[in-house]
Amino acid sequence: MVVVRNLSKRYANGKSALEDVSFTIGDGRVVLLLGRNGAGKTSLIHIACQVIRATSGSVDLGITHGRELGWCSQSQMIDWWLSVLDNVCYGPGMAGFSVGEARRRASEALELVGLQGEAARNCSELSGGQLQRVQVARVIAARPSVMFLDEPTVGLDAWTTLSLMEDIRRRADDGAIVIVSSHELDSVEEYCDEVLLLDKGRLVSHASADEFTRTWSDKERVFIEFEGRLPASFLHRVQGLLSGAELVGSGKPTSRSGVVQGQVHDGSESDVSSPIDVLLPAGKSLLLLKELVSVVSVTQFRVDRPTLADAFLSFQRTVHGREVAG
Amino acid sequence: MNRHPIRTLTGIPSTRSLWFLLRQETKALTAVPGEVVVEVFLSPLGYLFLLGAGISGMLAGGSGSNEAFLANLWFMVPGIVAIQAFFAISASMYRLQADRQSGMMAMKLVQGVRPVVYTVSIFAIPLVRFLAQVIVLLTAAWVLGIRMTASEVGLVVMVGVIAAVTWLAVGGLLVFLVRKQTNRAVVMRVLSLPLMFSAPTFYPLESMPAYLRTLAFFNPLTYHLELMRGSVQIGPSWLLWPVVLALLIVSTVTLTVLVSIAQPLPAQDNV
Repeated sequence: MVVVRNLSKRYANGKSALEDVSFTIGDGRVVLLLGRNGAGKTSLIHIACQVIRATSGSVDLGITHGRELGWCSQSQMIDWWLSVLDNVCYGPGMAGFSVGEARRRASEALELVGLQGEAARNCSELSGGQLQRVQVARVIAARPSVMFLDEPTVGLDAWTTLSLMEDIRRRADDGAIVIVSSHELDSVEEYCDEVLLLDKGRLVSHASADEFTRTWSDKERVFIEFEGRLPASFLHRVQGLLSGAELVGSGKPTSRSGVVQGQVHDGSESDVSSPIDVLLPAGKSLLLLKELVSVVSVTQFRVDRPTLADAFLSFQRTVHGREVAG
Repeated sequence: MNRHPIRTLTGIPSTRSLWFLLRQETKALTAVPGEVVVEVFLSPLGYLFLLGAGISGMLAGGSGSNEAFLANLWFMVPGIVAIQAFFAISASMYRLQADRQSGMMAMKLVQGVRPVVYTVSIFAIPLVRFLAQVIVLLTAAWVLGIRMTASEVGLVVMVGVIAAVTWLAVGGLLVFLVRKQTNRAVVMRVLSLPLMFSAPTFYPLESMPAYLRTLAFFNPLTYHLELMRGSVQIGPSWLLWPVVLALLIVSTVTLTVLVSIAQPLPAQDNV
């Protein structure tokens, strides 16, 4: 069990990174540490891993031995003189496994992250994404009981991300505690049990992933494809229905982080082209469909529950308003 | 002040972690075989044959007298050993800086490696390299006609190791005390020239002008050199042991200070 009590961190330059953060995480949980850049995620991880001191408060990881702790930094913690395999060997080697066993585990971990063919290469020859995989493999190979993974999926392809997250899930099912800090919410959502949301150094939410999503987004995600274009006059007509709606994407592929701000309800005069990806207040999707079929031919209409990313963006809009745009 | 309350996790037994880290360090520092050859062979031999032999010949008065040349070479060899020990300062700075900046030091200490084990693992390979340099140097000196007894060799090596450890620790201290890499390079440039040339490395203390002798008095390298020369001139006399002890204390204190202030740093772009 990880217990964090009244944790605060103020740096020498006066910047406050964490303010009175407290939470408890039970064994076997995968926890997503969420927050914007500068929210205090990395400071929290560094304090928990005992790299920097807290100004006040305490962290009890429920372990006494360094080999039970795994830490994957978002920066490149790499021994540039060593090969990929030797870098990964640091994990199991420092955990006390024999050299032979360390190499075997390191090879397995490299296979998991798709770097088995690069084992003999020097790390200085690798790309940024590959280096992040080396770091992840180092933690995975050590099989620790508490893991802090800072942006573990950065630079990973979809298949490797899936393999990694499934492996993390298996380890959690075996009792490990995994705390993942990631901006790639779609990649980790399915595998995490709890969400810790930090905002400007304060813990604003600690809830199960479902509860977090329900709390911060009471909307349904509606994806609509139609033939032709929706005239601006239609938007005016359904303005009441769309009150509180958030347009995630329209007329072009939705960028993962790019939020196309609210033409749906701010009276834009331009037509809207297909498809539309919109967050609608719960219960309004069928009403919208009814209105839509009266003006265009709808070819696809899908209603999904909101994602963690939707909830996170809703939180940001609710708390910080427009400053999150773009 | 207790500088390590931050790390409460224990590590694997020190002998085991040291063994593993030494293996990693050996691989890292021998990754470029050409560099090893240059460090172990070319550096000491270059100093001996290009500088030491040249100055010895000059001090012999250009008479071509083999005896005079050899007599001066006896003076030069301990000087070159001391210079090689002094160069350990850059070896520790180089490796510690890289390890600290990349966050590898933090990773190792987080895993429970004790600071003293970490320090030993970082210093061991440069120390072994220094010993290899001394072997190469003494072998070459023997070829040139310098015949040392086993006890003389033992004393030179022992003092050389004490000197190398001291300079390794000084290099480590510079890494932790002068945080910015650019400032550290300036400090190193400012320090290295007076340290090397205010000591009686290539000329006797008595031949120095007064101001240089004053500088030499405060230079640890002077004592390393004088002790090594004393070792080959008067052998393992009891007169030398108080100086050996004093240098050992300086070395131990420097190392202890280093270990006590050795704090990791998260990988640089995280700070």
